Amino acid sequence: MSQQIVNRSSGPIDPMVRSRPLPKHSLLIGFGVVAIALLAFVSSSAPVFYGHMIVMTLIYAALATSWNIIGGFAGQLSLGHAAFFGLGAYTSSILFVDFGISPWIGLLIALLGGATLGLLIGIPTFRLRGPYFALATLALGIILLNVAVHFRELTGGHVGISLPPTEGWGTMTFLNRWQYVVIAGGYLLVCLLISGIILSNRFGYQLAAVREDEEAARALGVNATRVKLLAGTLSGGLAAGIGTIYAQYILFLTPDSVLGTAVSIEIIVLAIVGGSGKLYGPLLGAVLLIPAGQLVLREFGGALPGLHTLVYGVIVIIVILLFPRGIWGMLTDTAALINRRRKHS
Amino acid sequence: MSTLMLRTTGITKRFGGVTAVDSLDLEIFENEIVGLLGPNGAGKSTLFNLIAGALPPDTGRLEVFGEDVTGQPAHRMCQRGVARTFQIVRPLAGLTVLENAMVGAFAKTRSVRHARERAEAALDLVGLSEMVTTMASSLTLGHRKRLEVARALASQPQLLLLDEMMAGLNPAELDPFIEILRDVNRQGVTIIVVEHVVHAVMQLASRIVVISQGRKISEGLPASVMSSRAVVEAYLGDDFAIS
Amino acid sequence: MTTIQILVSGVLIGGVYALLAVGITLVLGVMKIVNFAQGELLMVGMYLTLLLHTVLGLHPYVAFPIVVVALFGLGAGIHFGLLRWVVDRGHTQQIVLTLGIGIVLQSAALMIFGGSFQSLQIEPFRGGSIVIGSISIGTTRLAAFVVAGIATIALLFLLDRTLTGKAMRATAMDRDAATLMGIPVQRVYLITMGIGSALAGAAGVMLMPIYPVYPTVGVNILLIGFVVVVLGGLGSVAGAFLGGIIIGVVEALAGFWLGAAMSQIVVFALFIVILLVRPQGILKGDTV
Repeated sequence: MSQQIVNRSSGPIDPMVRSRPLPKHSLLIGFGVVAIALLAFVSSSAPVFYGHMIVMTLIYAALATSWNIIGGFAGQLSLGHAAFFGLGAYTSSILFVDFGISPWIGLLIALLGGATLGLLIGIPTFRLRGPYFALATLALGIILLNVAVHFRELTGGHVGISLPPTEGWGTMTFLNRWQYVVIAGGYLLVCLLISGIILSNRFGYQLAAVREDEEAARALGVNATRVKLLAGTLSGGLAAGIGTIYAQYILFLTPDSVLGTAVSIEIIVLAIVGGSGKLYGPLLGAVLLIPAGQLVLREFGGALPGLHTLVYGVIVIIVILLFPRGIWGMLTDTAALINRRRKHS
Repeated sequence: MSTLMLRTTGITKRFGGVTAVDSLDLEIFENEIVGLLGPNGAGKSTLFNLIAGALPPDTGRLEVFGEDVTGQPAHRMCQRGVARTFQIVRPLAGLTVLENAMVGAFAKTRSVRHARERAEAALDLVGLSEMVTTMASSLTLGHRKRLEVARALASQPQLLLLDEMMAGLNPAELDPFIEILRDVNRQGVTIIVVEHVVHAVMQLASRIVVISQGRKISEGLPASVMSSRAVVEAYLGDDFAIS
Repeated sequence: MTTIQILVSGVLIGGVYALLAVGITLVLGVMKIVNFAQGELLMVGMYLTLLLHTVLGLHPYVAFPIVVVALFGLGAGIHFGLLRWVVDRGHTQQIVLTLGIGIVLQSAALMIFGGSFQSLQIEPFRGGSIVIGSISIGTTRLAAFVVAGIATIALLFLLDRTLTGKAMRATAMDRDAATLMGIPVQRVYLITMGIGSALAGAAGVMLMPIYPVYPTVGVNILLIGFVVVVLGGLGSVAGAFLGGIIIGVVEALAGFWLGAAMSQIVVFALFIVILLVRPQGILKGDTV
């Protein structure tokens, strides 16, 4: 089994976890719980800036990880994932503000809503190949953005929605940050677990087959439409859920902040830079880019607005040109190379 | 008479004004190796795509193992035991050899362990067991063709459709390949091979069907078919047949 | 405002959409790359026009050739330095690379010019309009439309009559065959990307007297550009021009009757429907 590590693979099973098929999920849970506890402890005592950085990294990591199911595993470039994120944020916020429904229930409804949207959008658009699917999802994001702008009575239009700062677990609203670390971190862990389970089962292999060559996949007995729909449903649902958590953390949302094209693009940047299609790629992308962006923004934001996005853009270009499999892919390739060298010597 | 594996009745496919397959009747029996011959553009690949469910027929009926499967999609045909390879090989380039074969195996099982076992067995049969961890994208053409066959075999087909697998192989690759196919056939898989490389099929096939312009023009044992006047005309033109 | 007045405005602004879309469709047709940086190239063209005016006092229409040539150079440079490495990769990598280029251009503009809206009012044209009956046509808008028309015709002429154009068409049809026929495909790509970028620059110049510039101005116009490209038929230059006018009119009418947000919903819903029903485009003529 260990020899499988030597070969680079963008296959469904990550080379790093491939050698231990069963205990890896429990390992992920164990490691994840410890990491979340540690981060929660750090954020409770760290300066606001770093606490905020941790929460935002976790939120974007979860968002990029959910995108990865359809964009990475299935290889369907969704350029409108903010639609799901925003749908989740608006759904729970409207339910909370207008109807007094707890954000926890809002979160569940957001999950269902995002999943339903993913399914409904997938039915017509998964027939589209290549860039046309990307363009259709881009349009979907813009439509939802404008829906939020247009239906003012419900969404507050451009002004947005402010959530009441009623502290407590029941309202998912806290003055300190460590609770958000626990919630967002726990959610990220769930996203990673679901992704890991997908990859180590038939579903993951079939998605990878569709990504590589849909017609060949069909000839090999893969119901391509069904696996893509299922991936889109899961991906949309998970992205919507993290939208609720984001809304409860920021307590204020506008169409641009949760539904903007910039959000969709940021998700893709994180996933691609980290390594799309890899279990931990999007997480790595978020861990590298979100804190870096926030640091640059803090240090130079006043004097040089635009520098942090410039850094983003340059990193994207470098990664695409030099490490097309993302930083995670580059690291595993290097590890494999070293491994092979050692074996040969 | 042995069991009927496949029957097409009046199966027809048109592309615009061109009738690629023209009300064609075909019967394939268990454990046969049938060679499907015909000049370029005769409709062989279209017929293949019709049988494999990649294209729906305009009219006509397709039966597999006695069941009507007309219009069933490609993935359903594979799950029913009809596997195919592509004329231009289509490896899942970003996956390893083993993962490629496992995708095929998943047509019949949910279990990763079973899929792996079946994939390994199929790779073993075609002589790729040393290369399980190699990326499909880095295989040579000969190995890619073997992978195509292994992947199809891993889905445990009863009927295997091979589309021009011998074309492009050098003589050193060709003989072992023919041996592999004989092996597969001995293990109880019925095979249809499409080729326009005639001599390879003559070695392998127990029966030959010749089609031209979408119609069946001859059928029978290899030797007798190849001497038939209609076949010579179809391949070489009328002048040649007369002289 | 009468309906006819809105129609006329729609047609005229449609000319600018057409200019941008023609560039997108050319690059897509020949190189098979969806260029998400096209909107930012337009933005660069606008800022360059503004800069030439404020620093050198050049009238935008005098600056036109300078901007077009500069943008040709920028586009060719982007191909030479970046895009040529991903021509053989999947569309995801290509799209994300052009997104990255767009982010860089946008951020650079923000750093250099700041985030505020800046407009350029040119003296001889300010308030200048031709009045026909109850319809008033802004001269700057009319000029933009005329230039769009001329540029499209010139491009069609280039594609149809010149050796370069024929090489571009051949590459669009079948790259491998074109290579075998001795066509230097990479040079064709360089020229294609240059022309596509020059068209965005031309659109930028003509838009500058009409519309304020800000770093993200290209984003929304780009999205409209995609709608136009799909409507006109992917890779069809004449289709993109017609599509530009149609979308200009649809957007103007929907904007007047339904409000800005609702008009966007209509336009993009239409876009998805076209993608699904007739992905080859409504107005599909000859490819490139």
